[in-house]
Amino acid sequence: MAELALGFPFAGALVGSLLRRRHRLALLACLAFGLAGLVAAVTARPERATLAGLDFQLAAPVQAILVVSFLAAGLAVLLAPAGADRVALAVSGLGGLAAIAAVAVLGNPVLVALAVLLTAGVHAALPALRSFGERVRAPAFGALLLVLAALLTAGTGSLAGARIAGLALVLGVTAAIGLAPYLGALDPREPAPASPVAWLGFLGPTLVVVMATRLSGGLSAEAGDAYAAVLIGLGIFNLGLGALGGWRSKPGADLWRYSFLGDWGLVLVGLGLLSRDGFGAASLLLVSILLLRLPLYLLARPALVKTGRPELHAAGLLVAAALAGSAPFAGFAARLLLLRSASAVAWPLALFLAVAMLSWLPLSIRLAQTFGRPSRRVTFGVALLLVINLAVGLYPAFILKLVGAS
Amino acid sequence: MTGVLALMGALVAWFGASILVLADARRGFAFGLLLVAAGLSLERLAEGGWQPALLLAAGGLTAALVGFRRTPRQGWGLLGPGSTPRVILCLVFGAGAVWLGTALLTIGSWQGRTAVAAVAALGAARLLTTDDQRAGLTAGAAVALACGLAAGLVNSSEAETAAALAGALAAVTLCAMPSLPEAAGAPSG
Repeated sequence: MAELALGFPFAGALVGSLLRRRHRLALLACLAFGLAGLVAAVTARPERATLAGLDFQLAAPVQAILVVSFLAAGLAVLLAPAGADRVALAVSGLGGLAAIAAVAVLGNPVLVALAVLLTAGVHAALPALRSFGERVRAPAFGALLLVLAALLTAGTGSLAGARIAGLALVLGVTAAIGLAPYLGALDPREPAPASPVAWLGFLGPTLVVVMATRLSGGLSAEAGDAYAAVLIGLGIFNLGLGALGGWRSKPGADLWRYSFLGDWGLVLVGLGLLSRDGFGAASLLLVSILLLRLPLYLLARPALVKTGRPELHAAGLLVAAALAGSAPFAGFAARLLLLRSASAVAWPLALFLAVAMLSWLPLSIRLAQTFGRPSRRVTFGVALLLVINLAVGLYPAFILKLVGAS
Repeated sequence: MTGVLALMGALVAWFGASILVLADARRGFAFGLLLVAAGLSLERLAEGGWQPALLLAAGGLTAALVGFRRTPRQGWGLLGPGSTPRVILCLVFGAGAVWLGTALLTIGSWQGRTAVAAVAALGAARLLTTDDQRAGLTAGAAVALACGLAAGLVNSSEAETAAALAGALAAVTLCAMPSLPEAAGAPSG
């Protein structure tokens, strides 16, 4: 069943692109294949299955994030701005879901890296404002580091090789996602499927959970230490850069880019703590990226292109609260869990995290201003996203149970 | 005899990847990719896996032909002005691949590891340093073929064929991507 979660979106992307001239039929086909893929992802069993010698496995945390990715793709198509080409968006979304599902279900780490490389090449070949080289470099470098990590994990005779495997794994995943120090420029005029936000907000969450649950499983104890240390170090770096960059940015695309970075910093620290609470916090943050930050950025994009005067409305305060991770939204539970986990390891780390989290309170108000004067469609979209986020925030145990962190 | 054939395969794969690094036009790209596929499949064939060898060769051939048709720049484009650093890079990365294959990695045969390391390293060097879309995609296809071979080394022997098929399909897909307008994908020089 796990392989069908890969097959249906892939077939949907193919059929959708073949039928793209017949708009309504193409959308229906994309919807049908997307729903079939979602059902396959929901009903897949975690046991390992073998097909033509290849291992397929969908562990519970990966399955949860994969299902949330399907929902995020559905929201992106549903909330697309008026006049947008929904067929192109649906086809890109299904293509992205096929890539995510491949990363999620393939048991062979080299094939996971191959899926990332293929996605990087195809993504960089989409028409966009930035050059091919600029777009392919970070994810392709990430894929190559993942190949190195997989080969070293499978067999190396030296301690240095084992340590390099842990290092290459973390650096490979952060490069593929496009986190600092591999951060790309975010131009709101660029279509979302071709922009770096596709990696930061859509492909990245599953990749990082696969890293934490499956790819890191083969590392030796020595490599495990390097793995955790680099995760926490990169997390702190991204968190600091996100906060600093956010303070220096005007309300615009750059501020959104740094806000993604801030969330990813918390995710990396949470995973690096190697604790149940840390993993739970990271999972909740990833759900928040997929179901709040990414769709909100897509809703704000038309206003970012117009670069109108920033305005804050009453609903904007709720958006700011949700983006900053205030109670009772999903980010609050994640931040509490992360602080609890970090304080058990080292209080200076917990103090740094608390300062970085608080720094995003005023920045989130500036983020909410980027919507300008929202249209009725944007207001509906924002309300829907806030309700979903509120539900996750009020009952985070549901997500934590799904990912095995309760 | 088997070891010598596998070594020849690794050498051919390294030479093909070097051509990919040194070329700037469609004949060079296609020939380089063909040599990479031929070298990797010869290495696999020498070790008894004729099915993955066939798939890698067929995938490389198809990818080279598709890429040849998609690349607008005619000719070989080999060893253009200022290519001395690239020649040195090919030699250094070749030596590095031998070291990686013999000293650091332990899975599979040393010839197989060296072939994978040489193609992956040189393909990566080309992919990460060029703004030319066709050069980047062809280098990516070479790395995909190497991944197809490497995935077979990591997994059980039954998975070799499926892994080679995955690598071949990825290589063809990368080479089949349509060309972007010249402004967004100018030659790297």
